Amino acid sequence: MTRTSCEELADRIVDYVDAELPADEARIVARHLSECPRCRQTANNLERSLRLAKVIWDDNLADMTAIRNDAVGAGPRACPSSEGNHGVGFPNAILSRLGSRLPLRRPYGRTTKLSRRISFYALAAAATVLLATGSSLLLFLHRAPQPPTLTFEEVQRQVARAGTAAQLLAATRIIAQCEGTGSIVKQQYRYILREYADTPAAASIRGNHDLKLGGTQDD
Amino acid sequence: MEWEGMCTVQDRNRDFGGDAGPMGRRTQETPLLNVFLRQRECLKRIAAGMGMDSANVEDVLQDVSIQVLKYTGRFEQEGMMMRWLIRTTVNHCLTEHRRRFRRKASRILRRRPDLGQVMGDEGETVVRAGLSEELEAVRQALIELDPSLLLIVVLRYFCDFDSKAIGEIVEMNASTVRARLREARMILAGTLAQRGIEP
Repeated sequence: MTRTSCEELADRIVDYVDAELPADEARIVARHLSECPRCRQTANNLERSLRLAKVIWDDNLADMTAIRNDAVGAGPRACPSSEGNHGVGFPNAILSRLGSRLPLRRPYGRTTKLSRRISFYALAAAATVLLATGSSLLLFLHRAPQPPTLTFEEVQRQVARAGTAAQLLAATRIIAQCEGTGSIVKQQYRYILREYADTPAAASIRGNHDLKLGGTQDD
Repeated sequence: MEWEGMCTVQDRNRDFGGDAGPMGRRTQETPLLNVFLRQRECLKRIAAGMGMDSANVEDVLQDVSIQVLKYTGRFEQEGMMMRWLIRTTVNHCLTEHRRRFRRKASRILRRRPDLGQVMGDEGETVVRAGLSEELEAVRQALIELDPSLLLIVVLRYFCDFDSKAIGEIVEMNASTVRARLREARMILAGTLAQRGIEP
């Protein structure tokens, strides 16, 4: 077996590192590399420089992928790449945006100090408006008429009054069926209207009789 | 070191366009705009590999989209459309933006605290300083690399096109593409060697 020189293998080392050599040639190169530190160093540099270049490319791509994540959707792989998630689909929104050139100019470009400052002021203004609106709303709610809060005792009292008024009304209507009791009946109605004005009995009297409340209990 | 197991990049020998089918297939129902939208991420990847930052990539793709609208109906085959799209994208990358790979190695390292482990390095400060130096050297090499070589390297190693597909894009035969790839790879590797950086 003849000893292979470095010059003879110079071109094939790249193909070897890229695994594009036929098996028999790859064996020859591998044997040479195991014996020649200089070519081994070259192969190391070839491999390592490519990996570093991929780091730089990935860094560049990751930058824009991170920024554009909001605009891309799931879709077919776009590039015949073996690497993870770079083959994302295309944004449907692009179709509608293609016609207008200006809005697409640097839509996610670098953030300048000025734009950061503008964003800060916009945020501060929005917070102020929100605070003012919230305060006004709280004040309005605080001043709005509150519905009365009923206690159990108040309910009991109203029920008792309504019951008494109903009993008085029923009795008065029985008396009204007798002759010569007109004045007494009217007097009784007025009494109910005066003393139990907020009850259903009083409402019933008001609906059925045209009575004037101006008179005294003695009328 | 086991040299036979070191080969990391496989020759996938796929047609670009993924599931779009062979490059020469007639796809009259697939207009240029649809191909552009479908392959937008691929074009973005190429532009990123060419050194554009995110804002510049948006500019480039916007310019390409205008060209797409202008030339809709000009191509009938999807392979031709894709080749045209890549060439147009690359041309915009080259003509409109001269500054490439703006983020320096130190900033990349800050964003990638795990890089030492990823690269298989051990240790802390000393290794990290060496890694930063290496990264910066490769970054400079990518900046200074001839654009025609950079494009081929990006298409091959960052976008995983095979030599035949690259040849169709840049209108070279596959063996010329391989020769250019070797040249570019040796330049990048030589950058580490010239600076006395020992991996």
